[in-house]
Amino acid sequence: MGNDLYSNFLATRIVHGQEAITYRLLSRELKIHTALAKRYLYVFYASSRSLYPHKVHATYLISGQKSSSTTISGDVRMSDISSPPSTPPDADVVLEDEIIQTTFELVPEEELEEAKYRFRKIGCVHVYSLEPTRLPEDFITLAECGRKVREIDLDQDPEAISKTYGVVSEPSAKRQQLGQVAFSQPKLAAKNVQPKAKVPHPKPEINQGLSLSTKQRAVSKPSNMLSPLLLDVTQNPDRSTTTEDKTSSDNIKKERLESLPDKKTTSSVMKVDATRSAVIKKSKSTTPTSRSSSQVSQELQTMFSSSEDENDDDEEEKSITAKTETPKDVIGAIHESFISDDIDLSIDKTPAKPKGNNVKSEDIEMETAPPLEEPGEEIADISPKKRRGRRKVTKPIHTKDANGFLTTKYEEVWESYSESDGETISLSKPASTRSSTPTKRSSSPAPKKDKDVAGKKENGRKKKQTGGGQSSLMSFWNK
Amino acid sequence: MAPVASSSTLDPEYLLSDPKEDEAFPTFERRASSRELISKYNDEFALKNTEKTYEQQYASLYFLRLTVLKPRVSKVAAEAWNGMSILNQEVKAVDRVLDVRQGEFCWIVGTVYIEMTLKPNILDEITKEFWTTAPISKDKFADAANDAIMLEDESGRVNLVGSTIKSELLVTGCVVAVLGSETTSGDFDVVDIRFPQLAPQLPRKMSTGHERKYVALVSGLEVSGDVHESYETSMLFEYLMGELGGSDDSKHASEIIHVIVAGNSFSNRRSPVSRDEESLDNSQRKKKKYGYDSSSYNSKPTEALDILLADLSASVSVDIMPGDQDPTNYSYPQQPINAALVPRTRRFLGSSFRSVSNPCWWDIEGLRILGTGGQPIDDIFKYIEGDDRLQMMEACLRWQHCAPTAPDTLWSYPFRDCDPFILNETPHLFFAGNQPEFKTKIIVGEDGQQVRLVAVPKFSETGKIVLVDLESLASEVVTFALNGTGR
Repeated sequence: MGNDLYSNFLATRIVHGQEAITYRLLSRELKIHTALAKRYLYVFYASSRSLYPHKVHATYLISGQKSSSTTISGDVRMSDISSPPSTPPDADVVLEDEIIQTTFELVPEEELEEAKYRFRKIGCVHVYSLEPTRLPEDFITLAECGRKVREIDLDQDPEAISKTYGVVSEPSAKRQQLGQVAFSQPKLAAKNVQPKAKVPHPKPEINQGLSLSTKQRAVSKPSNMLSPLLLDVTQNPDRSTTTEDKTSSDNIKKERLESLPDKKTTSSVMKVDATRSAVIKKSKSTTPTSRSSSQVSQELQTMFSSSEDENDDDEEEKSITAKTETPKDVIGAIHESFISDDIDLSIDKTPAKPKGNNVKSEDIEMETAPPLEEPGEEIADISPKKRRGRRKVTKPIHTKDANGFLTTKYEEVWESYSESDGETISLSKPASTRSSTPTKRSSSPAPKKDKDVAGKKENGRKKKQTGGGQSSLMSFWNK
Repeated sequence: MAPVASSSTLDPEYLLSDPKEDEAFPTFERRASSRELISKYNDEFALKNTEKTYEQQYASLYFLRLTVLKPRVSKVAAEAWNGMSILNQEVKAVDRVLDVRQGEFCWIVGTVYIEMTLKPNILDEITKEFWTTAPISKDKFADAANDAIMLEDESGRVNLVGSTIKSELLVTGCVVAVLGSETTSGDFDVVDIRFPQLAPQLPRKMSTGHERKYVALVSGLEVSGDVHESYETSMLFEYLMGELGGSDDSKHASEIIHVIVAGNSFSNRRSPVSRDEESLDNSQRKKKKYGYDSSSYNSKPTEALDILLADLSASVSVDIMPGDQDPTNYSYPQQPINAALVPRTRRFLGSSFRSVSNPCWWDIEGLRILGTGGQPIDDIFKYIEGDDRLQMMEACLRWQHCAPTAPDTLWSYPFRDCDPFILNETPHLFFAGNQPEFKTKIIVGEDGQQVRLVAVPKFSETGKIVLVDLESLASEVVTFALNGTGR
């Protein structure tokens, strides 16, 4: 079958199109094995001498072992590998007698015979490429063929490539099918925290284009950040740490899909973690809604959204989701999530990493931690632009030892800190899970700083209450 | 076309013939094999951003090194010298270098420090900014006649003299034991010297199968993404993917179960075009921007390498290790190149692609491998006489330290808990990337340890890669050349 196909193809591209065609490009274009492509190139070249005299030029590849005597320039040193010049052979040094040296060399047709004499043993000769005229010394024209091959290979299944073209296959190689999700990740992050506020929105369900697995891998930073909070809000505290299985979440999603009114979608919403949104939906459908905690939801909003382009719809959604538990619990959860480094952990996770159930169960563990005693005080912690918490700091402590020497010890100390949101997002922090932050807090060696922080918090809260969602500039000056 | 005689079973020109009907071409698959990173050692190279501090001094690194290596070298020295007598005087061990008594034969252990007159000194360089002396740029800073070798421990330093010490290969930072006596001038006249010697080695697991397995060592690709990119790089990737050559070549390529890209994968040369632009409108250029100028960023090398590696990762498992030109930290140990730089290849993370630190330890099919991007060897080269890279690599193993000149002349992170470069184990394969030429040998230790040393040549300059047989430790060289260019 291929006879006419390949000769037509080669005649069109080389003789008429003045292109260079390598065996790889021919194999990709005709979807044939590279070895067959090498033969086709030869057959076409042999026939072209009568059909298109002087219009087709061949470049050959010779593989084999070069004779060491006829080494050229840079190869000279290769011959004396066996005898290092400076060191006499030691008793404990086993010297190499022979090292197999294979050479792959591209040669134009004019110099093929000459080149063959440079080889002691020829493994294989094949036509590497056909072109209208002789290629330049650096064979750079062929790079264009490589680019075309890559375009064809792009995103093809490695296994299929291997079977069709004879590329050696690696059984363990698995290309993660992240698709566009992976590449749009930076864009998502650049959109700031806005997507989080929309998490509870039913819109996510529109993304049926993406497979469930894809969505799970594409867990976005913002959604991770919110997840402990949302789980707290939506799940019964008595629940065991296992979350819904995929099938149940799938079912719910389908239901929702059907009942979904046509709303506009945003790209960021598309990438929301499927399972989490399923959790939210479930809770929404099972618990009656009340508006008592609208204040909390507003705090949520100010906390997670820096941009003002939210529409009323979104706020509505937020208040609905946030209200399913008592405000106190919500606050507790918010506080937990903020003082724990877990947030930073999730922020810093590389998006390519697949996230599964472990993350979720971790979050739920946090939720079950004892609530804080003074919720009123702690509200201050969730002022919109500041993040406070405690971190481990290594400090040098100088002491005089028994001999009178000054010794330096490094001790890990808990230190409280406060930073603005922007800073912390860019900061990377160690991943540590802390389920019982309050106890650590009590063992703190720096109570004075705590007070300062509390004072600032008080201020920040007042500002926030008066300024509503617009307090960003004020809190900056406050700091 | 005159056929060329060949001993191969397959006619070398079998591809220069008409295709036969229903001829089946073989496709090869790489064998499943274990390619683990030895986290016990590699974890020590990992620097977590949050734990990095630069407040501490470098002294603790030397202190830790001496603490760990002193017992080891003392053991070797005690075996060699205890009970020995010189001039009817029994040799004894002295614990601290300052406790040596004049005229007594004894042996001491300490860290070598070489005072080099030609060693670049930051203070000298500042002085030169004010006094116009022509800067002397040299490849080597060693000057045997004027360099003073000293031995240092926590108590102090003693100057080492004698012909024995002058003939030994020594660099600042290695821990040795010396035998001798103090002269009237207060120097220590060295009679003999001992090194820690090769660390213990795990026995190699010999596989029962008779199939061959290779690991490919590639170094110095220097992918630029330019139009003038060398075509050998394309040939290399075609070869590794098993497309280049005949079916024997493909079969051989399929025996490569792992590829280690050992440093300097990215070119940091500016493209000729951009240099021209720079010189042309230098005057018209906008005011110099301080700090990072994103407009000067050249994304071509990363994009080109990403495409190549993504192709390769689909066909063979690949580890990429940084070198001194690569976009990661410069100081040793270099942290893995961020996989975000290679978005297409990154999709093979977790299966056939890894970004590893420099230096790095592997356990591939039971073969323990230690590899560096070549910086420690390049740095040692500057401060010794001679240019035998294998000798330097061997010395590193015998000093039980893979980067002895860090932190003195090889920039390094000031570790304060451990010296991660100390070798607690001798690898079976020790390679250094980015070396000027290919060299290899096997060294044998006192306890029968066998180590294959490989100096991996820069691909961009030589067109060569190295294959090491995981079973026999035999090494092969594969060269890619363009029409007798001799590369």
